[in-house]
Amino acid sequence: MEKTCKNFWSRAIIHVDMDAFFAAVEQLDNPELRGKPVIIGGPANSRGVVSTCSYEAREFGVHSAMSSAMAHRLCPHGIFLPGRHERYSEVSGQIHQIFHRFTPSVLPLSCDEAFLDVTGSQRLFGAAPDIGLRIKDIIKAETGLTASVGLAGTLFVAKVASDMDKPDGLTIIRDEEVIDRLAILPVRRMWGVGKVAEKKLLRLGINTIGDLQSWPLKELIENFGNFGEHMYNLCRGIDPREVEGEDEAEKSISNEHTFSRDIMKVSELRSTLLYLSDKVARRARCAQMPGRTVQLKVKYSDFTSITRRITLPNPTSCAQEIFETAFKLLQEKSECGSRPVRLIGVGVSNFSESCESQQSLFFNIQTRNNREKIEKAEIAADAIINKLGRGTIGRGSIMLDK
Amino acid sequence: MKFTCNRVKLAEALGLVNNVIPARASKPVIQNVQIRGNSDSTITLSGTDYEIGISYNLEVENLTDPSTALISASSLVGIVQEDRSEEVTLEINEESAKMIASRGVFEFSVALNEEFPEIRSIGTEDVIEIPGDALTDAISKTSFATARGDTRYALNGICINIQDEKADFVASDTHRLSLVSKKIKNDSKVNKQSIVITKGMQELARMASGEDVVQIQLLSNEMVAKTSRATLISRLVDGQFPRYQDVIPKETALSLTFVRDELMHGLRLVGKMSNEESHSIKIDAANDKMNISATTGSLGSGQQELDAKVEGGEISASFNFVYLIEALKSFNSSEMSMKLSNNDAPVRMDEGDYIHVVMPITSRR
Repeated sequence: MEKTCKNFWSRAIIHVDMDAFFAAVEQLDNPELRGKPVIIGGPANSRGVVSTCSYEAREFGVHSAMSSAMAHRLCPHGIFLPGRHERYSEVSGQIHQIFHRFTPSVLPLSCDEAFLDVTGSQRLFGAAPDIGLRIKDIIKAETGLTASVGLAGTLFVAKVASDMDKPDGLTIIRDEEVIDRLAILPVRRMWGVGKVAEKKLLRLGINTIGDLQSWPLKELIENFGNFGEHMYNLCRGIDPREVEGEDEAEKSISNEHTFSRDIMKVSELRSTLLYLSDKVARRARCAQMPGRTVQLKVKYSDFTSITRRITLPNPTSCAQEIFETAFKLLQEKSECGSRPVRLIGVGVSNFSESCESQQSLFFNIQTRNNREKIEKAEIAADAIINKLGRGTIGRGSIMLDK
Repeated sequence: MKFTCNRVKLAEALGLVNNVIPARASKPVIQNVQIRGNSDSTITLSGTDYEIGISYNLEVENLTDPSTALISASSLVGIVQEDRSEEVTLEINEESAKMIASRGVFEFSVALNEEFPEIRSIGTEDVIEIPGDALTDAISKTSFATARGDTRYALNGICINIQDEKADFVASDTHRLSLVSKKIKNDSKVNKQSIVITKGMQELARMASGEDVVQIQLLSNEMVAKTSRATLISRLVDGQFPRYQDVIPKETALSLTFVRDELMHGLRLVGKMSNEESHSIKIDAANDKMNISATTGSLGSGQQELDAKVEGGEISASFNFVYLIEALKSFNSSEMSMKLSNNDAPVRMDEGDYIHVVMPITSRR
């Protein structure tokens, strides 16, 4: 291990990714599960999906987002569990506290992943690779869980690195190695490259990040506009984003979806919005960061986009409430339905620092009970999704619309 | 058309009508005030923003050739209010309106007399009557508690619930509720509940003040109200007002009695240290003392102790101090009480025909 490494990085960014987090927590809490294929998600005989599975299950070819039925076929003696969201949240909180011992600049991505900027921590805690190791050790000692850590000069490369040696790995990518180490990866590993962009890239014969590196900036811009420039930089490991302090960093939690074709029908937008609201709410609950402002983003087919927002009386992490608010914005403050839409997104922000909530008169009894019920159902669904993967459990209305 | 009238009275009338005239509108015709001469030596001034319309009858002198004209409201109102003459004379023809004041002359261009929305006059069916000051009182005690721009449209207005010889005026933004019950004259046995937009009710309060009797008619989509001089129509809010009777606390074991001004003062002080989002302050009361306190991580903390009478047990609850101040302001007694059943329950305050309820703030799990 390098002892003096300050010179290898412009900045020292660490990405910590917990290994098979939910499955690992289950194995931790229940020793009988250790060494066994644990699959979290929908029951084996259900139409559900796998959220997470232990490394033992992965040996059978089981992976997240696979249908539970398929997982059961591959791994008939797998132990299927629904997941316990609250417990995961608790462990997640413990891990985040460990991060904060090393730096105030922590950017949580989800309950089992975070970026840490340790550039300024090296004088106090030693070289960045040592910090990476110590974080792994402390997590192991205090929670009994293993994490994989990536260390690099930028957020994107650090995240790529943490994935290279899972589980329990520590991968360091120095600035001068970035181009070569990225080159072999498939293009979909690039941030911002979703299904739609990937298709287009593959059509152009760009299969790996290395292929992308050989394209001149001008041609990428011709084919992809501003996104071309983003890819041009990212495939070289150039990523200007920074890890800000937690309160600064997570200014909003949002998700968006680019359609493979332009959408006119409000009903189609509605079901996508519902799906996105679910995702956003789940992240907000996981990070325990309910927000008061709900925003809707719409990009029309001509690439012009609008953002509309509403501030609610009380902070929310309830998907139903986020969806209803965003859908109202869509109906009243956008041209959806009369103008073809390319992308929609939804987010919450304006996170509340206080843990107080103004009580309501009428909605205490009915709506409030209802909302609590809905939120409980959502939390229960979180657990399933976290374990089984998206698609295992869903809303009836989304199915109907499809 | 030509007439002469007292300038102060004209300014008052124009001021009332102008309250609803929009400065900018998609149909510019409603940026005008309509002046119509009547055969009985009165003129009618009308204005509307399509949601609320007001017409006002004013006695004038030497009215000749009565006709109708539209004049840009902003300039006319400003000049009539600013002028110092005792009397002014208006001469209106198809091209212009000339106002002759004691020391000056102003000439306004006149808009073509096109489709100005008519302010309907009150009908004869299903009309109730209420004293003007009772109506103004009911509106001033409810309008501040209405919701603004809530997605539950029914809350963006004041609900009028007429039953027998009584009308309930209710408003709530879900965090608090105001209910005033007034005696009315209900000869036609109206039994009806409607929600009137807040601004419509506020204009009505202005118009009703000092009037012996105000007539009110609730139609399917609008309210018509008439005083001795003016008529107001206002759009209703669609929707069902929540069952307010169910949320007014009836059993209240705990009671806190205090001097209203002292508590308002204490709240204003301690409120400065409250969280700027929740405006949360805490009230703790026991042994004839009440303590108001606020702590905000980034600001610091503050507290204030007041004399109080505490009955039924210790009180410890948090509230939005702005809601409490607005509520206390709407009462008149110098000494008053807050009543509640337990420390997480809504707080009830009473005075005569008026009940106000405020919900507490609780800590999230």
